[in-house]
Amino acid sequence: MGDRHDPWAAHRPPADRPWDERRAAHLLRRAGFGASAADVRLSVERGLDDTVDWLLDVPEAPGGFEATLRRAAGELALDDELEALRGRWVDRMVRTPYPLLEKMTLFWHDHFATSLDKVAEPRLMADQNDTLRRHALGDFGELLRAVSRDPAMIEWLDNQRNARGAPNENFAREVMELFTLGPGHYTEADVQEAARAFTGWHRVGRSFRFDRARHDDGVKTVLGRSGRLGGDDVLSILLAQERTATFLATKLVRWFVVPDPEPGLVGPLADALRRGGYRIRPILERILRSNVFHSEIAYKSLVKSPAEFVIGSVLALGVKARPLFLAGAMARMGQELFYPPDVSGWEGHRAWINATTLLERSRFALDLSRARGQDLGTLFDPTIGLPLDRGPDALVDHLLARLVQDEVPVRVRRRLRDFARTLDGGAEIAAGRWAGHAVDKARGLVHLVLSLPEANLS
Amino acid sequence: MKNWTRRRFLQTTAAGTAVATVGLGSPGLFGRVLEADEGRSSDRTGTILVLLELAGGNDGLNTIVPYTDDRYHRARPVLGIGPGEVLALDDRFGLHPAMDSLRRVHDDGRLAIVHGVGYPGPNRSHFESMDIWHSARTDADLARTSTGWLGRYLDLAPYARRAELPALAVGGRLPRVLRAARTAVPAVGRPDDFGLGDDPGSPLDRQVRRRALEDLLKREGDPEGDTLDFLRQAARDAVLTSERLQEIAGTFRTGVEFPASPVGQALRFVAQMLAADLGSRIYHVSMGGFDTHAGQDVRHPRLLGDLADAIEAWTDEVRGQGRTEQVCLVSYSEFGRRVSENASAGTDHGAAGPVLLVGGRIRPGFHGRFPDLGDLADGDPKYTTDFRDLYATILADWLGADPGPVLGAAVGRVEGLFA
Repeated sequence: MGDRHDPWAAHRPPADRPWDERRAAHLLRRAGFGASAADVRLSVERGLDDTVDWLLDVPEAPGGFEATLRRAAGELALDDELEALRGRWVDRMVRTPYPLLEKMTLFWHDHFATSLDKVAEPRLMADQNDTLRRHALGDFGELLRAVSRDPAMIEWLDNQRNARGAPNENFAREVMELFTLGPGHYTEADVQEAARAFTGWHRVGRSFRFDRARHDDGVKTVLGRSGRLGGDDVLSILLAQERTATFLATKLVRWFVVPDPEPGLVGPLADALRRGGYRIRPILERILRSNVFHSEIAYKSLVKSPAEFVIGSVLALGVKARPLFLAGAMARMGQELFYPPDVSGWEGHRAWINATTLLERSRFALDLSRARGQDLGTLFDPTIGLPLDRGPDALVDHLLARLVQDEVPVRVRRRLRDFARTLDGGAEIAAGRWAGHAVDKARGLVHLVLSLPEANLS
Repeated sequence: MKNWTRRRFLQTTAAGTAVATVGLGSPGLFGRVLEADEGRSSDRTGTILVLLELAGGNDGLNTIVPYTDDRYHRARPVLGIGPGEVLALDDRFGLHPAMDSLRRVHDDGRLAIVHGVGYPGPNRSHFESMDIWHSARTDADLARTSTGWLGRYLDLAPYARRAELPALAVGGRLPRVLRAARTAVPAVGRPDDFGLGDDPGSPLDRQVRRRALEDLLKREGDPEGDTLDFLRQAARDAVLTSERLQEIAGTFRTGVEFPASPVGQALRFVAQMLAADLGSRIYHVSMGGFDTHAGQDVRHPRLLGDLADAIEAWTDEVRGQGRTEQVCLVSYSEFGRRVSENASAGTDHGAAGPVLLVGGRIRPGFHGRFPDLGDLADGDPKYTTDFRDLYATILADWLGADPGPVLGAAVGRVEGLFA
């Protein structure tokens, strides 16, 4: 039986705060990108524990889904390689039965931020994406070793040019500063020595190739450990630092729980990560079952990333949308897949929000709700799944419940009802005639509700 | 067990007005319009500063080339710019050959260069060094959470309390340099695309939607300082921004052709805002791509060419607006690069580098002392001008402000930088 006061103990919804739609929506938003109304209801029926079990139930090799995706990729018929790359990933995010896997793949894409801008070969980025997904819920040590050998990464951080006698420090620096220890926990000398250890870690085409002839196998000292260190040795040294678990655990808490965690909150999770040999799945399980995750403090404390806003809206409304349209919207909101702004990834949280990006979110909501969306690549049919025959108030209430869990001030609900009830000139629509306006009003309301500040909270 | 209750995200000033914290800034543009009826002023006479940041660590030695220095040539057999290629500015230094637009700016007497700008204990991490330049705090840990030096200036400047738009960052993120405790500074991305849109298939009127949105986003009750409050403020301002920017874009006329490059278009946007007379005195623009660890012989010329062309167009436009004496553009980078090239026809992170100033009342030509390439620190030129002294000079001699409260401990000056 978990201790109610231990933030990381397993949460048991108490009688006065039972497992309900708003809490289920929170879990599905955070663990994935959002959910349909049906999935939310299903989660309520099954309960918290079963839902988490379902989220964690990701097979090693999701064969059936891969086949579905391949067929879908054929349907997408995308000629341009970059479009294909982006379109396929967004399509996967929308359709996946394993949302946690995709969410974590995105987490790692941000963590090991690599940009196609410099890598220049979409195929290499696709391979990296596969690598990230393969290890997404696995062992961070294995992931780190795999990414260090990844051809896209080798190009991105210039390790292709890192050779004995002519070291290039880029990768060595970033592997410490951004991938493991965080800034300030190593010296310039450590970077220089580590760079020597990674000499010869090159690629040929889409494969890793250790070029022994260009490897500096002299004695090196990194973080106090000396020897004829090779790249893997350096990675092991980095993983052995306590600091690495803290750095990674902090990122996970900021991604899944609260934007500004106190060190005291992160500590136990970092310990668990360390003791558990850096296996990710058990840590995610701990997080998704925890008291703090399900607390009112975590609830709607994060700002939705563009991916969550875009895909969440699509799932919640049951809209059909072309993946490239969605990818484009995400890019205009500041999250261009495969093009992180720099090697530190996307800052996230409040940094997603400025005048430009908020207007993009509103414009996306408008596009999603359009009557002639086919031109853009969206198809929203308000006659499916919305109560159009019960009058304006019921429609407003339904959309508020579905899109923002009803959590708006009274004044906002009233204003939306006004909008739903009146003609453009301000005159009230007669009750008998409202049904004729229902579809248009539904479109307008979707745009307005998704433009609310509340719609950006996760 | 420690109490992990919700943090307050807002601080209150003495006047009781809730503002965004250090590190966040307001995302909106014209928020105060809705707050109180403060008399707005557009001070056409105040001097203006445009920061043009070269992100990634610009190679100063190949920008302002010491073309007669043997040690430079020995260290750079592949990347070195020879006397035959350089655009000589005097008998020691010249511009990279890709920068002839900038040479014209120089010939017009509008270019000043400060040599060897840096700080003690150079930090070679992009993020940390940029934080250091932005915050004017050389301790990276302090820099990481600090306000910006210009943010602090804004918090103290009387004009900032009255101006409709005291400062503006062009680009998707608010840079630390403009993060303030008490002043709202927006970050604006693509300026040309700011409509709220229409649905051609729907009879719903756009104005009706806009009115509904404005009503829905009105400030309600006391700000709680949480994420929702932040979003509300942002949303309100976004709607206003949309209208205002469309207005501004609609009335802007110029004969100058700005280059299509991102930096060219960013400076064009600044020019638009300048022409709109909103009373902004600080602008920030960032140009990326300067982290030339490899293939610098191909990449750097392109970058410098784009930079030079954009600056030339900018000076033409500013002249056309009659503001040459009023606006000073300052271009800097978070560090220079190592003197010796690496084996990939590139250079690695370095330390000190030159700062360029364009327009305003600069004294054209070279300032400071070029570092001795025979006396390096760890393979890098030693700084000869502390960047904080440069900031102090800009604050005192250009913006007319006291550097003390902004920069803290006693700082020097770059004498004679401004006329």
